[in-house]
Amino acid sequence: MILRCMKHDSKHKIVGSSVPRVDAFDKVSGRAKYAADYNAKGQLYGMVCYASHPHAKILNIDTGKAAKLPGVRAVLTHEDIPGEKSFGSVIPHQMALCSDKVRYSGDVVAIVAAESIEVAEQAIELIDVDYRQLDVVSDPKVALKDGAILIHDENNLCAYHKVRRGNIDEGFEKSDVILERDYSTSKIEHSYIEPEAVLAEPGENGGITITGSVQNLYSIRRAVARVLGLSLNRVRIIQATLGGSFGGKDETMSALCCRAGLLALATGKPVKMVNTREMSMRESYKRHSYQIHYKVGSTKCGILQAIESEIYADAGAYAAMSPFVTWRSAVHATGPYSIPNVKTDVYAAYTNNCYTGAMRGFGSPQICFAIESLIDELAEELNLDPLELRLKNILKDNSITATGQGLKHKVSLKEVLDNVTEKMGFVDKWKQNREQKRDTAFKRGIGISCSYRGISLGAEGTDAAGVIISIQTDGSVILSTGLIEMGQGAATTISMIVSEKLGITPDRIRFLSADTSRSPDSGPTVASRTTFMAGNAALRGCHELLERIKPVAAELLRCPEQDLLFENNSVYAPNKTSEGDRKIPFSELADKCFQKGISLFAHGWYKSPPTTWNEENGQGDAYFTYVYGANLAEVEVDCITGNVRVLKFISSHDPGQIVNLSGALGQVYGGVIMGIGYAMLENYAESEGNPLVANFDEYLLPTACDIPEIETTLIHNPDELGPLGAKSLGEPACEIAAPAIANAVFNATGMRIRHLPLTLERVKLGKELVRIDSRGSVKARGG
Amino acid sequence: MTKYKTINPTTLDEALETLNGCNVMPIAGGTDLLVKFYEVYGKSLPKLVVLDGLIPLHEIKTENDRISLGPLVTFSEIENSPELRKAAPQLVQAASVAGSVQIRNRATIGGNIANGSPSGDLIPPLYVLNAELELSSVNGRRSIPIDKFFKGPGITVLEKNELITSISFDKTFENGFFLRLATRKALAISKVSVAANYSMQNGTITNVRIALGAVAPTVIRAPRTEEYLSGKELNDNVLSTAAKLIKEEAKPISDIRSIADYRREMVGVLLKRGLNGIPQSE
Repeated sequence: MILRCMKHDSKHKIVGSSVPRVDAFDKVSGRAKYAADYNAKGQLYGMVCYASHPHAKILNIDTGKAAKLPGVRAVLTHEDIPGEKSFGSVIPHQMALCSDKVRYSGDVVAIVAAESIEVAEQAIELIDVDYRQLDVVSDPKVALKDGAILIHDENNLCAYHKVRRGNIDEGFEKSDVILERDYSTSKIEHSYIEPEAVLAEPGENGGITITGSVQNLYSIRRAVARVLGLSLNRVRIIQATLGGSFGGKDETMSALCCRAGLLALATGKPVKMVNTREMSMRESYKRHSYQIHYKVGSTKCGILQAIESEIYADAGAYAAMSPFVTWRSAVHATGPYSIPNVKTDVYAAYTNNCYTGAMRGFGSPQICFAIESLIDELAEELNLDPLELRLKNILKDNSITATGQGLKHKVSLKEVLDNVTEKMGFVDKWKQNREQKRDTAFKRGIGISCSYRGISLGAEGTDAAGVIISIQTDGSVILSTGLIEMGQGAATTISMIVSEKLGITPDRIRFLSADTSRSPDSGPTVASRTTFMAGNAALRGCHELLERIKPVAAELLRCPEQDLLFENNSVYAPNKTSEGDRKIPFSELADKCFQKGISLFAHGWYKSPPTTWNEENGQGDAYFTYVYGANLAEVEVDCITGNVRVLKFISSHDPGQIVNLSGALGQVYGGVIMGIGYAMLENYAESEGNPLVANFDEYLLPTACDIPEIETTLIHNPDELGPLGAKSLGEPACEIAAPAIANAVFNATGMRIRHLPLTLERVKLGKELVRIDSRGSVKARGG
Repeated sequence: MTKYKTINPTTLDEALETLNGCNVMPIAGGTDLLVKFYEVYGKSLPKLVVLDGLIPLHEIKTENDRISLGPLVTFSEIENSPELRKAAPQLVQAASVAGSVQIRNRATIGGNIANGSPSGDLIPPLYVLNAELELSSVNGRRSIPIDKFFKGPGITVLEKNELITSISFDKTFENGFFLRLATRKALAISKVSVAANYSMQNGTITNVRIALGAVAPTVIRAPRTEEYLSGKELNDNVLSTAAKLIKEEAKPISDIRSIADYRREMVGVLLKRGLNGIPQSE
């Protein structure tokens, strides 16, 4: 792995350098405690009874036999729920335990708590549920037709977003070339290494404490409080060290926490529930599959005039985050280009498939694949090279986006595109590749892609976060926030920002896991918002603390406050005091402040800059700022077997200001690799609402052997809104890998593949892999 | 292994005696068996007869021109055996692409055969090497050619109380190859594989034996293609005809790993590539 160029900003001491992850040693030495590692004395084991059909009316649930099995302590159905039976951040209709009907194969109709997992499993098999099967809706377009079978009470439209700009008809009239294309992307699993796990313990106050593999603690707490009929202050959710999430441990964990909580309250005992991989695959939400239609119009010389798109997302059985995911798709549907006339319609439809929700990229990887493929197809039609067409149309400083937002910051799209193409000599190489001999079996190809991405939640909703900074009397610091470390490096990043500001070394800072009862509700840890939001909140907390401790330091050093320098665990006033360079250790200062009764505890709160959105025309300042990225992929295609080898990736991103350099590179490598899996391998296939893959023996992810060399160039472009200039990186790195690969395959073979993933069979025959015979190897436990 | 009940014999006789009892199952590397057990987790499991302690069954022995492998020889040991590299190149190639390093360190040749999968990577090479299996039980020993061992996917002639105790074949000083296609580079089950053994004499191909993996209920030979190729000069026309013939001999199905049409097509491609000396593209 190569880091090509990196302009380190010497303005900062810590920020911008490479700091080892603060949680690395715990993780590699086995000291880290993941949710499944938690146990309580006298705990019971919870197990779920899944729906036998993807769509059916529940006629009767008989738990009698199960309840009589020795060792069983509770068998619960929807009738035993003290609060509401459903939850959901956007639309509260997701069933903790199903009552009238089941809507997908991961729905749960009953739960058991028993003295051992084995007994719990036996009890599940003794539960008799009578169903009346209903017709299954498995295609989102069919779901939206008149007369379609309804999944919920009202029609199957889960969400609809539109963007209207200019006059689309005039746009096409002005176009010399019009192209219409269809693309589709597959449904994929987050594939976090740790399946979901919780330990729910009934509390002394009639409340409940749940320790689990949770990503978004506060939305989960709202779900648990709602279903258990408790006030928020009686539900305490504690985050265990997370073994990956990628957006995946939100509603899935709400459901699991609700179920474990119900069993714990019913039995008065701690209840542990750990999903097997099969259960996780069956039940947990996925990345939406999209069916995308584009119509693009351009002048002969390649100036884009109009883009019209119609996009269908499979929301599956429940809304979850679909309304927000598809909104992001709508905003970004026309890619990072200036387009005067835009008409975008994005629909999310309910089906009886596994429900879909947040996953790294959040509605953008699908769009990026389609629009970046489309731009290459248009370039081909116009006889331009892909770079030339992009450079003619990309967003620049002060450009207006498809939603009518003027970009007031420095737009670095050209720079990232230059970074990935210049060294490779993209245009020459791309042209050479086109002239490869027809009869050679192995052909090389290169392809590019680029994107812009609105950071944080944007006009999705309220966007604010808090960080608590508590200086101890020995000068060490405890940090806590409602935003979490989930493997992305937040603990290290936020620690580094505090370290920079207070002049203490990162090893003096301890970042605590989140706890809903002890840290401020900071919204979800999503949308690449953590560095930005928590970073800004931390800066405010630091500022507040410095205002309080500076007078004490100035008094000790007998110098004016403005001469103080906090650095390397001490404070001094270089060349300004009568005592020369006398340094006071930060620990001494902290202790002195404490003796004087000065508060060493601060809560920094940050609310994002405003955004606007008009539902009527899809116009507004959708996000307060954007990041830019570009990829180049080089592939070798075996034209005889359809085997595509990814040989090299060059990735360039503008994350504003790097906070942790090694963390930033990790995000790029991880993002590219996840994108390669999306492009080449992954497909959570379903047939008539039934999942066709159950585990990683058949749902294949890339292994280390499939990873190419990844060369990264990070741009230094501090954003005036970001903490010390930082923006975001985690998602952009992932969203533009697939189109670069598909474009490279075209460059090699002249064959355009518009559907993911690019398996050997797809590349060779244009056909998709589907399980036809019944599964031979593994059956889901509890299923 | 702690959660399973095990018996750990140290001699072959002891092992065979134990296997003659009820509700027991031999285990070698466990890379297939433990996955099967996971399916029936919580249900009653047989006692495992751990073969690891049977030292002689780990050996690779050479006697004159014959090589015999103990069933506990691992894929890694095959991959790294200088002897086998010369004497059974297709077997070494197959051993080196299967699974991952970790799996190859555990998985054994005996287990790969006894598991009876049509996509078992070592099986097509053993077909073209005309391997003989020695099966032992308390009742004695019998010998059986490998192509008589398999009855269907996962079904073999091995009796419940029998062990494969040796796999032997003549050293080949001829040409051989094993090529396969899989979804990713490592930890992937073959979509289709082709193994061959043949001699080149004065520009013509003789003694040709070809076996196909994952395109029929068991590994199969391709007798019509073999017959056609025998005595031919390897030119483009001959290769194309051979590829066409072998596609007719394959009987593939469509499943999650591949599509019948693709498999059939690729059998021909891999045969051509193997005979042309084009290495595995992975």
